Amino acid sequence: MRSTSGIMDVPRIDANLGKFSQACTVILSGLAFVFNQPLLVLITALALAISALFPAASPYRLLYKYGALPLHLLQPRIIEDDPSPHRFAQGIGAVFLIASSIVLLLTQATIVGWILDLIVFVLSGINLVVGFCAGCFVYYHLGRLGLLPRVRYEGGFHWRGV
Amino acid sequence: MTSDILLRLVVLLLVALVMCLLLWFGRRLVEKSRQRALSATPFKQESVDTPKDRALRVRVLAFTSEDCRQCHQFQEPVLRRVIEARGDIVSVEYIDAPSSPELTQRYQVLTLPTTVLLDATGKAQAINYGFTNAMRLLKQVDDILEQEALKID
Repeated sequence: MRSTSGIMDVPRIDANLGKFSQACTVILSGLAFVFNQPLLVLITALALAISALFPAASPYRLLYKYGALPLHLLQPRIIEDDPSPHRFAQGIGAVFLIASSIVLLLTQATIVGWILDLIVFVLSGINLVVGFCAGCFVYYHLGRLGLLPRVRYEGGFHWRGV
Repeated sequence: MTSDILLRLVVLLLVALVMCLLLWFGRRLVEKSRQRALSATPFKQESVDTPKDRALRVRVLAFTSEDCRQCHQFQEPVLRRVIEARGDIVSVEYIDAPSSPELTQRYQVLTLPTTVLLDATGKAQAINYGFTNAMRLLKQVDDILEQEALKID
């Protein structure tokens, strides 16, 4: 996800990169569940963790930049928004999927592992379909409590089109 | 093996279906409220302007409350930017939702902040429940002005 300084220093992101990342997470976590592939959960977890910690090296971003954009599958859509809550949300997704991978690979509690995977599937799906970012919502409230930096702009915690 | 994959696929589809149904009901509820609000009786403003001046104005009713942090932290700066961008054409009236039950009922205010854009006749042309960014508000203002300009022509 990209942030640039715009008019009056309003933070901006590429909304379509966000949608692309969410779609990839939905597909990967869904496929991992259907084909019973805990390793795919781990790969998705790593992709999300890299996206949260090093956005410039995000596999989703690279795929978007060198795949989706050159093939004209998507066009950048720059909107006013704070990238920090979205990175936080990706970090939360990574934590859930890492926990899921550990449970699936190292224990017999596979149901718990797949429930964690499906939570990420559902929340990414909701963000993709209606634009409600649950992780951003948590970030916003933690910011209000002084536990995280305050959201500098929208934070994407409302339903798109509502 | 195949039956296991099929079973998992069915579970995944059911999860997705339940999610879609919940979202569909939620959106339908909001859309019904919006339609009721858009068909509300016009909110008149006493004015001494000429009819042409009135026709080139958009009023924004910004529903807020004292303890709505999102209103003060995000929505108010955005509304100031809208006024800076469009000048006298746009005016913003802040409405304290808890002390204005008649207006909150009329515009079906579901959450704070809520912004209602009125045309020159006081009729609601757009309603945004929740925070709305400057780009969206400016587009709504421009759409209303375009409609008003067409009426004058």
